[in-house]
Amino acid sequence: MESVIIDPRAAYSIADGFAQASARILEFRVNHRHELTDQATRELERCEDGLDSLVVLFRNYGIRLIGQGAKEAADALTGAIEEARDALENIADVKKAIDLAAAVAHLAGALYMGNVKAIVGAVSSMAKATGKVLDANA
Amino acid sequence: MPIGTSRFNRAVFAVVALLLLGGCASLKPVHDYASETEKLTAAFEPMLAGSYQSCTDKYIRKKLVTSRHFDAAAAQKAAMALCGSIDKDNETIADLNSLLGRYATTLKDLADEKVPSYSEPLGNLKGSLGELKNRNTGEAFIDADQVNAVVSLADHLARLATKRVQHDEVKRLLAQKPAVFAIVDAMKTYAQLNYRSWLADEIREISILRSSLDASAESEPLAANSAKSMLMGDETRIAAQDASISRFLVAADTLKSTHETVLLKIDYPSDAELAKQLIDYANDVAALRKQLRKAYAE
Repeated sequence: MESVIIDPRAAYSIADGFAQASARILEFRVNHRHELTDQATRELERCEDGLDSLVVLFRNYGIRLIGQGAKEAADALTGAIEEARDALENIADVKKAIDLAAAVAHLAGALYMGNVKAIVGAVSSMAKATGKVLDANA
Repeated sequence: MPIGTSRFNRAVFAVVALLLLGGCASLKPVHDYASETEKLTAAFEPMLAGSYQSCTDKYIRKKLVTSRHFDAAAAQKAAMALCGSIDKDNETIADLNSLLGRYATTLKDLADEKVPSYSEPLGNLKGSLGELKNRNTGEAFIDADQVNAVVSLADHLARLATKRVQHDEVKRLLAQKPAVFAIVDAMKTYAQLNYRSWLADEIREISILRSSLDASAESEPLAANSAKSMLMGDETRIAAQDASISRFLVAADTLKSTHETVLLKIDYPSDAELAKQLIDYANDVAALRKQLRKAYAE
């Protein structure tokens, strides 16, 4: 069974990506607090919490991905998160921002499991949501 | 005339030869290096605990400033749940730091000129002298003054002969350089990539929270100003902690160059370059400790 430990330096870089994504959602939430509904605010906070837990995970030691395509998944992860983080920089559409934040946070479950198939699925959903935000920003 | 005098004389001669061949170089530089390294490992501890603290502080600070319905108890609980695994996962680095500390203490004890250890090598000589004295029924085999003189020489030599064993043991310990450097590098990586990142996250968040407070300053000046004041205090403290990391990294690098120099010049304890290196190390550790007092003062 293919299994790979994410390189520690890559893991720290990914953790920083999650931390920055969480900060951007916070910024969005704070800047738009008068427009956002209670529910939208709660959703965004939940996303931040999910991202924050990913930061903890990736700054700890020995993240192992298990399964077919583990290496590719590990490689793809960093790039995908950076793109999502960048997409969150200028958010025009609240709903799309929430969807992206949720997709990024959804990775948490997949990554805790360390299961490549679940991660690949989550990364793919996140990339779609990133694309929608970028389209909305354009 | 006591029998065995020539045997006795040969024994004394052998012991004196040992003394001359011993090349007893002072181990004070080793003591000094080990002593500063002990302090360094103690200085590392607040930085290990710091990452958990940074994680919980950040979470609670965010909720405090931005929650529509802030619940202090819930926030505390959630913070601990979020950050709880950090301490557990830091155990590896904590163990490495402890190991380095133990290494330093052992090295220091071995190099400590005051404490004789390993009395074994000359124990036999002393014992057999005692035997000689007791075996005779009528006549002193070796008179009392001679025994006392040799026994005190043996005591003295026990230190020196021990130093020879110590010397070898110290060299063997210093030769563990690859392991020592591996530990120091792991500690540096933790400080630079892990702990420093937590502090950077806090700074980033504080700047976002401050601008949100600027916006509410008009409607709720007291609350906003009080929160801003808290943020400023936090920022100062975090900056001091980050400066500790910088000091630690410098001291860690100096540890390595000092170790190299001590090993290289083990037989030249009065070497000027070695003396300078040890002074630099002591200064770097002192600067780290001074910075830590600023950063972690309550």
